[in-house]
Amino acid sequence: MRRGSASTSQMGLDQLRSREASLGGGGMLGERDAVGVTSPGAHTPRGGGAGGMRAAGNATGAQKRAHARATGFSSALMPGRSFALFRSERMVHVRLYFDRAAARTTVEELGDTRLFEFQDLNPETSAFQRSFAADVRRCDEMMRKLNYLKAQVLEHDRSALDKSAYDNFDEDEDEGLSSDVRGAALKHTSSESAIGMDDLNHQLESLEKGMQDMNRHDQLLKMQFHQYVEMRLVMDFVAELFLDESRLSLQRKRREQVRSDNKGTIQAKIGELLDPIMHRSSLLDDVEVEEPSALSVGPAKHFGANGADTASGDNRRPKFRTGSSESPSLSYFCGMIESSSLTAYERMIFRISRGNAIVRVSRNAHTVFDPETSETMSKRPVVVFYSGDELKNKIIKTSQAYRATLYTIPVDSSAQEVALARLEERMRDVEAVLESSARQRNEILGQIARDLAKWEATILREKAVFHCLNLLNFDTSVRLFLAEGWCPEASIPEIEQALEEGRRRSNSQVASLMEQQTFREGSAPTYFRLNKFTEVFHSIVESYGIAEYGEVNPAPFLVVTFPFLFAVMFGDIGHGILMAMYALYLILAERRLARKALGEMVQMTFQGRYIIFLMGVFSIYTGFIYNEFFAVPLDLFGTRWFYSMESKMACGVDNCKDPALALPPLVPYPFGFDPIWKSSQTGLVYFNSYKMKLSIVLGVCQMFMGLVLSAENARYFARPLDFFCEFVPQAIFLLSIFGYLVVLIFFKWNVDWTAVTCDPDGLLACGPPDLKSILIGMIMSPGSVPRELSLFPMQAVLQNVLMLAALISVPWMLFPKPFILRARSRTRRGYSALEERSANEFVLDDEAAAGASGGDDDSGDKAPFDFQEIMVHQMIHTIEFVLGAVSNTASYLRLWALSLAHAQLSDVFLEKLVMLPYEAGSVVGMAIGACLWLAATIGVLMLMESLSAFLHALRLHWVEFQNKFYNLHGSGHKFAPFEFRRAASPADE
Amino acid sequence: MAPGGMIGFNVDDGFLEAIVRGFRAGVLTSVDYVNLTQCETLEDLRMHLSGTDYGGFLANEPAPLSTAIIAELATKKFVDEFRSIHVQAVEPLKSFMDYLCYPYMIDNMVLLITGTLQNRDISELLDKCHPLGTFDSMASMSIATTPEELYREIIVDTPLAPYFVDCVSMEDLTDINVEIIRNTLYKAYLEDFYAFCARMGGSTAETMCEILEFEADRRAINITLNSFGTALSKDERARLYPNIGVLIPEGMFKLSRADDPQMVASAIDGYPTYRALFQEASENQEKSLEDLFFTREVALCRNTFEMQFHYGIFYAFLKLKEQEVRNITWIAECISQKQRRKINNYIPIW
Repeated sequence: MRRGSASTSQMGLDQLRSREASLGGGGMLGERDAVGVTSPGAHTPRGGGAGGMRAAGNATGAQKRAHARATGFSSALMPGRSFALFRSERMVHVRLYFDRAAARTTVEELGDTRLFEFQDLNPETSAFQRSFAADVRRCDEMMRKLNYLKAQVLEHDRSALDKSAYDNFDEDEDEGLSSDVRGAALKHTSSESAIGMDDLNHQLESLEKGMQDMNRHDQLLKMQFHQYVEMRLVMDFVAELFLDESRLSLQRKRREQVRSDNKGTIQAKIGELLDPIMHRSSLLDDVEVEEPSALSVGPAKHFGANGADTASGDNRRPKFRTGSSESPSLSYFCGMIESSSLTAYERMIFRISRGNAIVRVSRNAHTVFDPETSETMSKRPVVVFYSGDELKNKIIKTSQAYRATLYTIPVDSSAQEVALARLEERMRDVEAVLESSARQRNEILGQIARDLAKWEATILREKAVFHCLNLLNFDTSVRLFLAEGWCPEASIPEIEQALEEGRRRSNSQVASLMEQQTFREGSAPTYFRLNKFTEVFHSIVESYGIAEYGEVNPAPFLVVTFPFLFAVMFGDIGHGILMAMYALYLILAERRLARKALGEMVQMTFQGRYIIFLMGVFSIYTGFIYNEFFAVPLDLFGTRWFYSMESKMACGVDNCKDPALALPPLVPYPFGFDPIWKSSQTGLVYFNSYKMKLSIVLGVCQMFMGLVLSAENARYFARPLDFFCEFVPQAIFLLSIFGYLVVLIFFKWNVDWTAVTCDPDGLLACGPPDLKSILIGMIMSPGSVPRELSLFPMQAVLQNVLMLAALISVPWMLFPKPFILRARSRTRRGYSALEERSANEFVLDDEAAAGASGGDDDSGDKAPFDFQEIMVHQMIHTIEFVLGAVSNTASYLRLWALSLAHAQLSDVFLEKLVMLPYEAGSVVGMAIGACLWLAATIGVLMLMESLSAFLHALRLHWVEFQNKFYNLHGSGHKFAPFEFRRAASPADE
Repeated sequence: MAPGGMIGFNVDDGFLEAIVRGFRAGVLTSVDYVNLTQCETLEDLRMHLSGTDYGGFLANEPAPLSTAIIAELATKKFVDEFRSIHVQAVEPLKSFMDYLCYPYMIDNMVLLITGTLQNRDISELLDKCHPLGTFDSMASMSIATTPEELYREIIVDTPLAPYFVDCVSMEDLTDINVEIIRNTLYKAYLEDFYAFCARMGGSTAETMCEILEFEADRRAINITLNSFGTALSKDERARLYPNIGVLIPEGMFKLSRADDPQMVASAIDGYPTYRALFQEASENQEKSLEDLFFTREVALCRNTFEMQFHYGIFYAFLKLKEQEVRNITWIAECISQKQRRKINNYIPIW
């Protein structure tokens, strides 16, 4: 329905535009049919294209979007392509010719359709030898520039990147979700890109250059500023050090005066200093004494020189300034060093000076931003006192090695103040300049950020196009580009439209051509049009294997069977409602949630929201059958049983004339289990018997369904051998043993065992027989059925017949097929020479068109026939089926087992956590119990139990169901159309 | 101490072994090399390498590529891989991998010393150092003027200290002394590493000892060949031979007496592996003895991947990657200098 209306509107609009008033509404519809239903077989490239071309010529973005949505949603629902999920869509191998000028736009248009898979026509050529390698490189180069700019923007301000602009490109949209937004954006860029690539390149280049210049400039200023900052820190530290210590020393001196009469000379004090371990604290005195000599060198002058130096530029190497004179006595350096290398530095200084230099370090670490590495690091001011020229050089080198930056500080306090003032002034200046340049930078980066996403999309798109062009062949004789590839047969009009649109956009005069080709069987890719609903089911199948081209896809069956088998194991109305509600929320909020980054677990459930919803709904259904609502039976229709005081047994409400007889009700409970069973002692036995049998019935049905599908495959591929030598004996085997079991189950259910009158001489059983024993007896002791196991007359004969059929079917599966194949290969060998020749002729004919498709048309057919291998394969296949029939049937008992586990678990939780405290009557206990029950319900039942049921359902489908028919002849390969989203995504990361 | 053998190996080292094997799968194959040698420009090279495990390692380099950049980034790539393994390693693999870094330290140290002797700028030298052989006090190497100072002030902090003891007594740092220091250090290192591997036992000892013995022999032969025409006396030379290797004792003894390449050839005559290498080198003008030694080393390293549950593959990974970078650099160099004739002189790995 939807498809019909959408395509009407699309094509109708096109037609309306092109033919305007000449045709009325009826004509519109007629035209639609003409284009839409054109049978691809009878389709000539030019004729069919004509309508499309004109239509495409006028197609606007809006129409295209509507069209995209229509195709996206349509898939399984639309009439023309019905069963799209059942088999791969019909694919055609086509060859496209287009003019050189139109190549780029054509490929772009084809990419937008997402319906064409290009084949690599030059597989031998390595990446850099292809014709468009240079263009790809140019795109790479542009991408590099763009990345540089992006890094700049990000570094500057993460939020500046226009988030919304990126969202449009990033999100992984389902067809229906936001393809129009995205489509519009891409369309927009694509139309621009045709002209804009060179411009963009220039623009990027100039921007990059501008940014680099600006950065360099900034870097210089920042370095300078950084030095000023460090210098001020050092100055502060030195001032503090000297101030503190001079005060201390004053006190000390006073003390010393009291203690000793000897003041000591300067030299003596230096001597003291040089033994720092003994006289650490005496340092200050000496410094004070040394002060005049340090001053005399005129540090202020030094400082001025510094400033000039820094400004002039060589900033990469730290500057070293000796703090004081050439005097042979005590001098010092001061500077900044990273906190982390401080210890090593101190140790090294100690080592090289043999303890003759003293390192003073500030107690406070300062966080400094180093523009060179653009990292903030913790640094400490440090002062090194030393004596002697030799040592000086070594200390300079060591400092260099430890990346300490040294600064010259005037020692005199007044000179310090002057220097500090000058420093501050300079800092203000630099800061002002930095600020204005930052403003400027902001502006430019803001502009860049706005366009960045657009540029990126353009470049990636361009690159993808060139990559694709590299796959093509250029035919020099006709001067046309040649593309080969696959597209769905039903999409040929779209492809033609794209071809024409590409030609029109490039203003090329040469018409583009499309030509269908024959292709070797089995080489076609498998393609299913999926929508957001079928996607998840198909992905379950695809994780098992990709369907061969034309093979039956189990996915449409999974839509029902998967949630159903799950629900058989998870039958509870309450749990089902919870699950369905959660999935419903995900479905309703999908537009919003699709944009969000969800957690891994939530993301998984989000992707499976439709299957979870169905699982929930089916669980509600089976819950009604099992009559469980959070393990509580619902008495919706009134129980049909009645307990009386006279008897231990209940009797049917409508049949309870004599309670002691305990007769069952005449009219059963209308739907599902009678609620009374839950409280009955025999309830569990009753449930088990039912569920066990149900599992077998479901299992046999599903396996038989699998077999039928294998027959359908045999029919479709015209493999009669597979049908008669595999499907038929397999079906006989399965039905004669397990089909019989199913029949017995129903038979037994249909007998009213209370009403059976027992004839002492009769041949039939009086009570319900054990079905297991019947089946075992049928195989172990054929021919005789003991009385307590006979359900109906002639049972022994029937069983013998069935056994015989099963026995015959085993060699039937095993032998005929390999022998027939061998016989065939023998007859064929006689003709092989002829066949080869005709094949060669075919190739010659084909070569006239293009010598391109070589390489892949030699085939497996011509491989020498290996009887042994085929025999072994057939043997394995037979053994697998025969054993599998038994083990797979048993495997379906997991339905019962899990269902039992689920029911018992929820029962126990209810019993122990809710009922027990309730009976005890404690309010607190009840509250705690209720909380625990809720936690257990959600944590254990809804999460763990449902996961396990899910996995078991998965296994039943993959192993028990699909191994009957799916991927038996090897798997196919997936249709991978050229599309921009995919081409762009790896680079996105 | 022994790394577990089959039973316990995977407890500590299985993950890392798996990672190394993963990295090994990314080592360029001969097909890749054939493609690389067909490149016309370095841009082509970049394009082809981007299709291999190297990925976009050159993606952010502006257009005129240089061989040096390629070599540097390729080295950086495997060094990063090596480091990521190294930091995850636990003892004794950690020590083992520490050992793998020592030769680079020795080389760096020697580079710095010779650089300083020639008054080169230290930061420039630091850039040339191999990233695997960095150590803290590297930058202050230029302070030292005598071996003793060197030892006392710098080496003592590094793991190389125990190897250096023999060199302390040397008077000053001349070119030849630096060479002697290098070889002495190397000798001490090889012996120590050999002992370490032997102590470990199992397949590790088996594979590593073979490789290290080869390494020792190669050094001995190279030292001998390079010593002709220098001031090195035979006694001094003999002291530089490692005390391990298959040449011990007879081959080494003969080597120590050798005066010219002829005598070297006769010294190793009793050892088929080396004799074959010598023969090939003398017959084939294209291939130098050095190349053939590398080829042999590559073969040995390749063999380590045939066994499981041992540390040899960590060593082999490093060496193979190093060889790969040498190959790429060689090819890139040939391309940029238009010496296509020599381009096939790389040493294929797989």
